[in-house]
Amino acid sequence: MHLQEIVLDIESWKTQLRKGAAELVVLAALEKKPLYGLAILQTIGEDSGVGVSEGSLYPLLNKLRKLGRIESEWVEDEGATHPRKYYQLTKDGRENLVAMRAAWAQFSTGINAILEA
Amino acid sequence: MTTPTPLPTHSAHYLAKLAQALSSLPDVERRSIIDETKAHFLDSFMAGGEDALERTIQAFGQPETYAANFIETAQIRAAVSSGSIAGMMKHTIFLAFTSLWYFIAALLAFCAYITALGFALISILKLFTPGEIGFWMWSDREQGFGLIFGSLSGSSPASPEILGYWVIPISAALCFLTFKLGNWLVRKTLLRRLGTN
Repeated sequence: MHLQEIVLDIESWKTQLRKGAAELVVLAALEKKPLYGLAILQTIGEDSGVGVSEGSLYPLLNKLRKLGRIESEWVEDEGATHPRKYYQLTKDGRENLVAMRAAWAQFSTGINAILEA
Repeated sequence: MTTPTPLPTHSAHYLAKLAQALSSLPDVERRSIIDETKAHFLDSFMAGGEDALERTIQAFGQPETYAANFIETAQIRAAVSSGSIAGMMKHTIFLAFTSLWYFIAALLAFCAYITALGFALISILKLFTPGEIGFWMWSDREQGFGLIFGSLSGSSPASPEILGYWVIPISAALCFLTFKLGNWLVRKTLLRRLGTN
């Protein structure tokens, strides 16, 4: 296999990995306090490698809201020139976050054990 | 609130194209998506100027592609809520081209629906050609073992037909069950796509 094909394969794999983790990452970002879209991205961090971009964040937030895991409201922050849509976890969202966090810990422990063997 | 900040022209063009691409969505939902996108553009512009805004617009991608994410979710949700078989099958077929799991689910659903149709035809045809529709089972040295639930063509087996007109309600029941199985598979597939398992 050529190097370019190997790189493309790894990038494709990483994309699938990011997609799988995106919901957990967004729910975790909202754990401590309500945030609006740009603030969620800043909390996740551009350099985190998680790969949640503007193009994927809002469709994901829309999906999570329709699933009842987060709720939203428009807020006029003091000093802001425009209202912002803030998101926060629902009770269902917090329960999902706890379950996903536990599943992730188990998964990553298992994978690390195999890689280090 | 302080005085609203005007956005550069090219971002206004993006929002206009986005509005057009989202035209199939209900007004309230479309307006909410556009308002939120505009708010994000404003935050980005105020934080980092035109360069930051340009990077943000690039990150959103083409307005049609960005809109497609919302439209697909809305259409699938509408199809599942309405229970429309045609609507659900249409989206299931689209999904079949995206991954092996969806392809297998779509294929199984299709097989279930075709089987249901077959059972329905057996029920109906029994009324018109009772001698050729039914259930035969045989096991002997000459013909070996065999069973037919459905239609005969050509020579009849030596054994008599077993169910008589009972084949009508039995076929109707099997039609109902396989049809429900097809519905369940299609619904399960679409709910998986929506993230509800």
